[in-house]
Amino acid sequence: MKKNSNIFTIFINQSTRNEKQMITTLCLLFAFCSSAFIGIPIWFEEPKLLCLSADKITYLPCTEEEMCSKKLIYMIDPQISPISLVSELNLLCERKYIKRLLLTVIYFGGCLGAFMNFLIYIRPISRKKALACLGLVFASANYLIIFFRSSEIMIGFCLAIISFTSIIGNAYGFIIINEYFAGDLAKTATIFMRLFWGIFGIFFGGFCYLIQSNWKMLFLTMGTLVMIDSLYLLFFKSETGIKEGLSKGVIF
Amino acid sequence: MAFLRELSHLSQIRNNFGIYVFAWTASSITYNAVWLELQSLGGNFYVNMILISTIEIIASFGASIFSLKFNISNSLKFCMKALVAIFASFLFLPISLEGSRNSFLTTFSIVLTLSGKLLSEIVSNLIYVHAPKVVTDKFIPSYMVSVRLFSRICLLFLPYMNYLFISLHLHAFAFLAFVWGLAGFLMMFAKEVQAQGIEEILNEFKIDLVSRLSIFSASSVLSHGPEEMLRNYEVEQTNLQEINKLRASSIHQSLILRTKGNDCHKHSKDDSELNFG
Repeated sequence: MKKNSNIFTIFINQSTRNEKQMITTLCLLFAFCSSAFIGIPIWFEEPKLLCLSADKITYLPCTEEEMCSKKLIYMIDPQISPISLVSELNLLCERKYIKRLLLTVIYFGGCLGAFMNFLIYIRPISRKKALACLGLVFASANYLIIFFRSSEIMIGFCLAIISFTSIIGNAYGFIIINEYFAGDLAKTATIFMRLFWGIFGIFFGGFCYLIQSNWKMLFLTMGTLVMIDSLYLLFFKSETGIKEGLSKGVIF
Repeated sequence: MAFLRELSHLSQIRNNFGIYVFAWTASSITYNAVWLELQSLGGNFYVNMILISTIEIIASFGASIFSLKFNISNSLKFCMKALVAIFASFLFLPISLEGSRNSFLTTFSIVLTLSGKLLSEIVSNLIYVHAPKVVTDKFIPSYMVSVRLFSRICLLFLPYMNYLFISLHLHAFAFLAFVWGLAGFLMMFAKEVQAQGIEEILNEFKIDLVSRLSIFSASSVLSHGPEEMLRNYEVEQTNLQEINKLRASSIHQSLILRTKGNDCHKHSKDDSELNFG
């Protein structure tokens, strides 16, 4: 083995076809699961505000702090403002606590998901996969529920489930890589996952620009992508290959 | 949960685990804080988003070069990681002081944030990649899961950083600088753990147990005092002498009994011979 080989040559030369498929699937899984957290600034993007000036005729651009402290009459600039959750649910000034609450709910869901990983990863490998798939199906279902129903409580509940299931799917990739691969291939697979995350982030940013952060469109797209990935993972035949990895005898 | 049980016995793994939990938490806080504060950095929101994603890609390549190409010792890698983390913290610091007040400073703050994030991401990528160097092979999945849990618990406080810092947008970066600096400093104390089999771990556990027992016995000696120990020793010696005396006398008596028995046996033999004869 050459010492000076890069991640691409290792990926091409040192892995079998099955392993390549597995790494690609896990990378996609990691990227899509991370979208629950990549999407946060888009969902909660602050709108551009116009406040009523002293002459009480014209609206001038103002900041949220000015508007809230002086209790000015305002309107959201329809030309340049994104269609985010903040503008949709009016999470400004005294209602700003709902934004913090929603963010806390998202992180709390992630926290619970991380705790659940302890319980899930003592299961056999096939069950782990089934649980990860089930989690992804739940995540996509919740993305779609938010698309159709947009009450504050429903959004909070669904976002918590999305972050909960996303963390499970997210950690699944790392666990499988460390159970199955070893040496440079394990390093390569780990770096590939982060690489895909970056590439996905670029596409995500571009897509958000195209749809002008229309949060409903975003939820619909993410729901569809996560659903496709979960189905691909479910029907991906890698059981025989993965079972060999269990000979390492992982301790929990 | 064997991992957490074993952690209490394996000192170096426990130290590494603590240090890397902190570094990983710093990494996830940096990622989420920068990501949440994209709008406050100034410039175009979407361009910032794409730039930060690009940073992720560059950091991945940086980590791959660092871990696959550089043929340097692991201890040096640990030190370099620590220094990179400390340097990243210095890059975060000026943003908190300057802020994005005009166009030059906006660009400056974006460049600094991206550079700081690049370095911190390289370190966090290496934390992912070098997991086998921190804990043994057997514990990697448990390590991954538990580290993730700790970082997620810390992230719960992120939405409330407004209350910690009077104006979140820029003072949060000072907090990031502090966290990364501390993570880098702590990383200097991390050491490579050789890949161990379960037998070696158990052996280490046994050694640890022996050392604990010896410490316990030494502490009992110190608590009782040497005079009492000497007295105990004398008592033990006298007891031993008495026991030896008793043993010797019992041996003597048994010998006498045996000789007597033999004589009796001889007599009975003679009698039986006589009878049957």
